[in-house]
Amino acid sequence: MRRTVPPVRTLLVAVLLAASLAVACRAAGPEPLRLNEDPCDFCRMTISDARFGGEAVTRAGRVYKFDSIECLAGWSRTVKDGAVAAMYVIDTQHPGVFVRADSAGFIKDGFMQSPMGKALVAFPSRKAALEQQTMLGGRVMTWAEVMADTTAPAPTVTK
Amino acid sequence: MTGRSVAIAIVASLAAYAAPLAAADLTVGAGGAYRTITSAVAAARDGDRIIINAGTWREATIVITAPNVTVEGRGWPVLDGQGARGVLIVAADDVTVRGLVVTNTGVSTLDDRAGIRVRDARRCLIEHNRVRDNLFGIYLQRSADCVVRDNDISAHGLSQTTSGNGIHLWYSPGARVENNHISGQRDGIYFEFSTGGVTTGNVSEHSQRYGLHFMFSDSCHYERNVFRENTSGVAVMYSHGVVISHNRFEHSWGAAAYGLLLKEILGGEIRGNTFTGNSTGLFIEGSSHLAIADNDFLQNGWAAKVLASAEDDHFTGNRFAGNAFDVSTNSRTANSTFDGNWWDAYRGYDLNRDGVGDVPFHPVRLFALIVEEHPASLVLLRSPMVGILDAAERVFPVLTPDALVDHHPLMRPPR
Repeated sequence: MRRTVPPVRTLLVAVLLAASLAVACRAAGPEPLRLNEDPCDFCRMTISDARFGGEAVTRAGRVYKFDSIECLAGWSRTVKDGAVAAMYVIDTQHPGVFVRADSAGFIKDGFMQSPMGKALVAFPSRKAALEQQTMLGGRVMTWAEVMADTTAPAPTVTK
Repeated sequence: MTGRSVAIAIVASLAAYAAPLAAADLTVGAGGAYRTITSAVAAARDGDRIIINAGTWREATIVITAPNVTVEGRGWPVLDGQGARGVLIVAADDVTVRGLVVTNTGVSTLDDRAGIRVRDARRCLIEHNRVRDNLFGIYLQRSADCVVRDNDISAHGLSQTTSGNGIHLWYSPGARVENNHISGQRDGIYFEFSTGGVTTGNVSEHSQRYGLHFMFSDSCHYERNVFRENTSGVAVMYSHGVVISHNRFEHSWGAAAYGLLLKEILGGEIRGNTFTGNSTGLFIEGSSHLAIADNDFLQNGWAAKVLASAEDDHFTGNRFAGNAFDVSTNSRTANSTFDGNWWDAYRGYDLNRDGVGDVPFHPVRLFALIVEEHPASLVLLRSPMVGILDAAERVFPVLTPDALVDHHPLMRPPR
């Protein structure tokens, strides 16, 4: 009698295959920003400062690059809910290093300027941002607060 | 009154007048009373002149706090930041800085170090300096009505990852930036939140990013400047009422490079400029009420890309010659107009000899629209099939925007 493959095993193999395909199709994460080369996908400016910027990876695996946190936030308002798999921002103290936007901490209107005029910089966590606030001043925000604050690219207050 | 009290009165009144009258020269270096710039600056009073003789000066960041002081180099003294610090800070009104070589701030990710920084000071004059290999060259910060002229600014030895701008203005209204030469910085000239400025006669080249870049800076004039071989060209954004006239935008070539990129500019004039040899000469997005007149577009990949988001912009009296594409857009609905321009691709005739062609010209080639949708199709640029497509579209326009038509194409170039 020919040995048949048990249905449970078949199922398991199928599930594993599907899972590995799904993993393979998914973008691994953010890509490096190529300075003085990549344009910002929101404001079109060429990205030139490694201390700022962000990326969004869509569920389809496409990577969008931004020169500033304000542009990432502005762009994310223009896309459909659920289209974005993850958003990342640059840790301003470690140029080129990305942290997830939803777990990052932000400082706005502190001592540091940012490329789109909102003086908005990111740190790996809210705690890290609070530690830097003593030196940089400004106000500490979460990603949700940054999103709520970003209604237009131009600042509303003139110093 | 006794003789003694009279003498005291005289001495007292003399003392009161002496300070403002005797604006002194404080000389640093060979033959001078001061051995360091720092000590001379500390001694300087309102109206004094600090003369720095030739030599190399390595001192802590020099901060000028007395108003109306002139700092003047003789024989190009070198002020060296030793790669560790900003070199000179002007923190008082009416200060003049001239004749210095300011160099070597080094790079920093925390502070935007500058060769010469003007901070919360009005009416400064920064002229005839040589500003070499600094993160930022000349940085005006909340400083109104300053003049920056005839400086020679370059940064070629710095890293790509951290670089600053040549002349950087931040919240500094009413500035005049004239006849400077800037090379190798991130952005040659940068205006942010700085209104009412006049930028004329500068040459800005080989920038790592933009030759000129401004954002949120209304009512500024940019005239008779040369911007060439800047990696990304020139970008101006988010401003109202700008006048950009008689400049040259040359040789910015690359996927994201533009002779002049206009984004969110509301109201203004783009007049008498020359766009030569750029990937895209003029790119307009989200900008409205612009007069684009009397410009020359020569040998660009795309002379002008005008996106549908650009509204009520008028092209007139321009000359288009030798461009692979004259005009491109991203939509059939066009909200800008072309009237009375000269096109080298125009094949019409002028029976009544009034200098205006009798048949309209459609500057948007069908192929330009295809390339806009499918960039890879650009390899077919020289294909005969594309030529046939364009010719057919010219005879029976079905896809190219109706509005993008020049009804009065000129028979002879206007210049």
